[in-house]
Amino acid sequence: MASRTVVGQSIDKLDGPALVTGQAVYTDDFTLPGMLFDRILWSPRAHARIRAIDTAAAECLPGVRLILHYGNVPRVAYTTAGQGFPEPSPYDSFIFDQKVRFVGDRVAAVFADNLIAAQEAVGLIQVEYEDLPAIFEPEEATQPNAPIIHDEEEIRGAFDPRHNLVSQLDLKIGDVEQSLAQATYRAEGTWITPYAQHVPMETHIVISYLDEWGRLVLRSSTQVPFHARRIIARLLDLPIQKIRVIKPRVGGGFGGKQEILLEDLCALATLRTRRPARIELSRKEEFVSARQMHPMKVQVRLGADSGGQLQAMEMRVLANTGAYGTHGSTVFFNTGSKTLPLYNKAPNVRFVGDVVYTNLPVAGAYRGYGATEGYFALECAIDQLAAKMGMDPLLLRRKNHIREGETSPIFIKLGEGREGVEQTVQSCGLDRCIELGMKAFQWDERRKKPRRIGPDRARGVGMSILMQGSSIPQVDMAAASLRMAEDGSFHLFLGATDIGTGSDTILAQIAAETIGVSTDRFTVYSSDTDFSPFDKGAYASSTTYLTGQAVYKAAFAVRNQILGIAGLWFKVEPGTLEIRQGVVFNQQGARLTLEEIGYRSYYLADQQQIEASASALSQASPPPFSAHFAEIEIDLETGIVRPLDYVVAVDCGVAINPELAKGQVLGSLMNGIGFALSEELLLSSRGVALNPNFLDYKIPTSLDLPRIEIIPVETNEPTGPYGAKSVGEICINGPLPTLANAIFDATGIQMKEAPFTAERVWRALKRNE
Amino acid sequence: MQLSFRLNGSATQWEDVHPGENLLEALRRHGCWEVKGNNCTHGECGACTILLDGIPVPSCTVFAARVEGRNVDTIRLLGDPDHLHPLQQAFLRHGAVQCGYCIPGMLLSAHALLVRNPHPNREEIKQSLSGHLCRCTGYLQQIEAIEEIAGLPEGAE
Amino acid sequence: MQPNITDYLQPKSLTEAIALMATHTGRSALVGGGLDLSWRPRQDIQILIGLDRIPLSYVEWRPEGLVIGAGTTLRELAESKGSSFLNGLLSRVLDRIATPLLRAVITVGGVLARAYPWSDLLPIFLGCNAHITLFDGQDHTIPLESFYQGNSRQLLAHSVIRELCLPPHHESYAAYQRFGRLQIDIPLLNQFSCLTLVEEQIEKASLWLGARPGFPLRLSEVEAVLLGKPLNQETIRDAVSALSPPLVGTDFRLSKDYRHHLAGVFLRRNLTEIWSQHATII
Repeated sequence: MASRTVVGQSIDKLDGPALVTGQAVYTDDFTLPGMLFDRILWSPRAHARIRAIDTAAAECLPGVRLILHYGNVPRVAYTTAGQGFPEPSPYDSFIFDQKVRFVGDRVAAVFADNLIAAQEAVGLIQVEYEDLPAIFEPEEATQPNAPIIHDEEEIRGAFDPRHNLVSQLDLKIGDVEQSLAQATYRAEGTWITPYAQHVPMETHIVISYLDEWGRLVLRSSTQVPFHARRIIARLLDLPIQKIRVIKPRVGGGFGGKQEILLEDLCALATLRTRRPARIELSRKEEFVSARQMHPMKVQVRLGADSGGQLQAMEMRVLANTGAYGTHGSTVFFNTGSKTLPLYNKAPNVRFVGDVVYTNLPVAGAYRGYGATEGYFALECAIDQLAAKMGMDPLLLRRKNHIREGETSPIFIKLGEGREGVEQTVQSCGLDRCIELGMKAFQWDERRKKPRRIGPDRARGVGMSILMQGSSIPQVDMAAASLRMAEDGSFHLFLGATDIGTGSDTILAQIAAETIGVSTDRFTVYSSDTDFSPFDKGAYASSTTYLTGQAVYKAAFAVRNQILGIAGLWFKVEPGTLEIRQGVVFNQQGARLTLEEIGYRSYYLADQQQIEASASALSQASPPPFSAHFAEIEIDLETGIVRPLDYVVAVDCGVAINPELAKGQVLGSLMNGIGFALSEELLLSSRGVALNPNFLDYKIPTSLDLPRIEIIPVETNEPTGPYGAKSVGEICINGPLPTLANAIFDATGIQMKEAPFTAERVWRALKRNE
Repeated sequence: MQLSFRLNGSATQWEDVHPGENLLEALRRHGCWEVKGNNCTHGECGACTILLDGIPVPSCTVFAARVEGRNVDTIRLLGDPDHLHPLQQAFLRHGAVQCGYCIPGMLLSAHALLVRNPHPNREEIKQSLSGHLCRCTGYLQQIEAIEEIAGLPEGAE
Repeated sequence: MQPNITDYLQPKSLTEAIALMATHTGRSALVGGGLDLSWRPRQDIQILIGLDRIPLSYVEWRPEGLVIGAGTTLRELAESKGSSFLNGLLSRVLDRIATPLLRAVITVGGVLARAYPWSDLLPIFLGCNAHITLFDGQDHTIPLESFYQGNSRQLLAHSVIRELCLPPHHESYAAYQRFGRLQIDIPLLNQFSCLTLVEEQIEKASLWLGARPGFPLRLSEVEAVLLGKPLNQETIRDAVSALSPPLVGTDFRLSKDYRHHLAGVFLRRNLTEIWSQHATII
């Protein structure tokens, strides 16, 4: 491996100086004369038909310019999921429908000269509802005679909407029942996860206006600008040519902005009034009417032989997608496809489940994408099995986990709502993650210590191992364009969507390394559908891995163009030249700066634009791997659990920017700790959110931070740019099983319902008395 | 109503402040886009933090009228993109900035802490950041950045 | 933006403030820190009366006790000499309230006037026999407990809270426990215990249960069990068993039976802590 000067360096984020000084970089840091402001009327009913809607009083209010509702917008079935075309999510949504399907569904939107008028007008809209029987429990959705939530005739792509089924699957490899019957050791249980929200600090926001050609411009806080453009074009029957989507800096996404939630309304307002328009969700609206993590019940059954070899694995999933099926089947498939291959030696595997509609808030994509729920169940079941065998759970995992050069039948059987792609794991540092993690954590030493540390206090240790993927193989494409200016600086145009992850910086590092320059020559522009080449967007842990490949190809082509011009200058074969630190050297050591090459190619001789575009389609989804270790302290009287120490060893291939990779690990870890300790959107028996605010939906703060150690475990992924794999999602999956296993170690009790609130733990302890 | 106060050290007069307006709204309406976070409005997320007479407060919880005659500092107090404050540089060096939305507020809290207590311990640093919600980072890199600055000899900040 | 507000008045004295309240009866609200109004905007008011220009921010030791001006923010209180009150217990409690940012906005007067059902401070103020001074043209000092037993809302319609006085507790021992979901949280239950021991006997007891949810409740039956007894394991056990479940309620945050259980644990832990403080000092 040639020595690298840019890749592997923790250079500062290129957009960092703007961010730390509070420059006007987000969607809302921008205003236009005549802009209309929007407030939305949300359904107070869980399931109802709108008999009549009367907007007369609201329209009379001074400053009110437009009120949209089912009666005056196009009726086109679509999915809000920002996925590749054709989307694997069902077309079960409308801009507005005559039916509302959850408390928080859209009923109408008011656009006015100011927010106050818009808000007041919302209160003046009279709606007559005809209540319909509603479904609040996922188990009830598939019962005979259950109300049909999606009875619209336009629905497409749902498995069986007459029975409220978005997706259903029964995948069998071998014979699980027989194998379980013969197994020496068995473990089983059902693990439950609730609604949880992404909580980006910047809520969903869109500003729309018409440009000087009368084209529609959408400035949106989105993870998927190109999917947004395509979906809006279809919804509003506009040519794609007439739409431009600009993604400024985004204040966090975590999957929640892989959705087209507001763009349609803003666009309609601008098209109808010819005025700029703006919609921003309040925090409460974000909690209720944006998207959630899928609540799931995941039953796992495991069987092992006397030596601890896993023989059978079964995972049964009941996933609640809420009122709309966005990301329903794909999240569900990932619950199996991102977890079961971890234990690839089991010959008998079954993955079975239902994804159902309910009259509850809408689940969608959330960092981890179903694997979070799957790992909670699988990794807790592994600990149960180890306990039954009297074996160290770490050893049980070592006996069974996947290794380099191996494959799993799951890879080919389970894809994104369809069949997957065969692949062999070409880089796997999981064994080293376990080894280094256990040493740093002092796993053996800590396990020898007494569990009881006081009359009402105990401690415990737990671990888990994880894998995820990097991109969706043979589905998603990414492209990059790279151009050199005459001063030897570069513009990198990306459709990839930096939502705070640092991907602009990482991709510039890949380009800089490839050419042989430093990143301070780079201006990265992402994303603008008018100027950026296509990219699927920020999801599926794909940007570094997949867009990185496109950037590498484009940069390699630009490098060759530079060398070609230098070759003409030196009158030698370009292959004999090299670029080091922005200077081309020939074999005699003569130098030519990129600036000299730039001026020559722009103005002087052999004139041409030094520029290249390239695209990449991923052929595989190489998994990153991780091992998590934690020690908790538990107050046996109150049930309060506190994580004390947390060690993460993570293999993301080669970390292009180690400090940014560490940030991904830490951020996903704290989110996962939130899932484990407190995060849960509570709903009344009538489907009303009880805690849609920061007072009662508690996300971790700096004071909740345990002692954390992150151990990078480098591997070289041959298919990735400079050996890189992904790191954005994997670690969110760790805290649920790791902390549950630590509670199990401390008390002998398996917490099977998240979050492990003090009251829940107290009840479990009491039951056990 | 009229409002006179010092904004980032400069005497400032606004002629058209609404008596029911909060400071966050008034600042952004007057082009101070550097104050983020107009979606929580309950003082709970900390993104809109400013310094009021040197003390970090969420500007969404302060009626604009209250700052008459007082000192208001936003993140512009620290630096601009070409002249970053050492604390801003440290945040970047430690990877403490992801989406950046919460960062101006956190930097102001960290700065106010260091002005009063140049060598805080980790607990004091954690406490000073605890009013700022961040979903991207996990807080550790900010803490490490502040510790680095706090470890420098006095006056270096 | 609260569009219904038409004026923000800034009186320079309490007398002036009272006069403005009288002029704008029923359509004005006082602004100390202003947090409450930013949380719960009120449609029924047009006039805000800001208290910033009235010197109400002070913390002083006077012969009658620790006197805290109503305009004092929790941050100012924590940084004042008052934070040593009850052997530093007040300071430890202040460190757990809301967030550092909000503590610079929340005022003691606001805490007293709003009396949120999740207050950390009210059980302590009540448990310390605090007095409140109200100004309605002249000062009236009354026990805080009777202020809330009476019609405090009506009193506040035409008077302003000037200050709070916490009588000295030299001979007392106190302890406080709270439950929160994460480190930063409102208390979902809290318990404050304050005992005065004379010759190993409990001479005075003041026990309060707060955030039940609801206004803090004095645990009179438990106090009765403690009075005249020596503080020991048996007394503590008797005290805990005197707690009755109806003292607490259910909300979506915690169930009644868990709250009841926590109340017992907190009471036992507080009394045990007081016991050990006392033992250390003797």
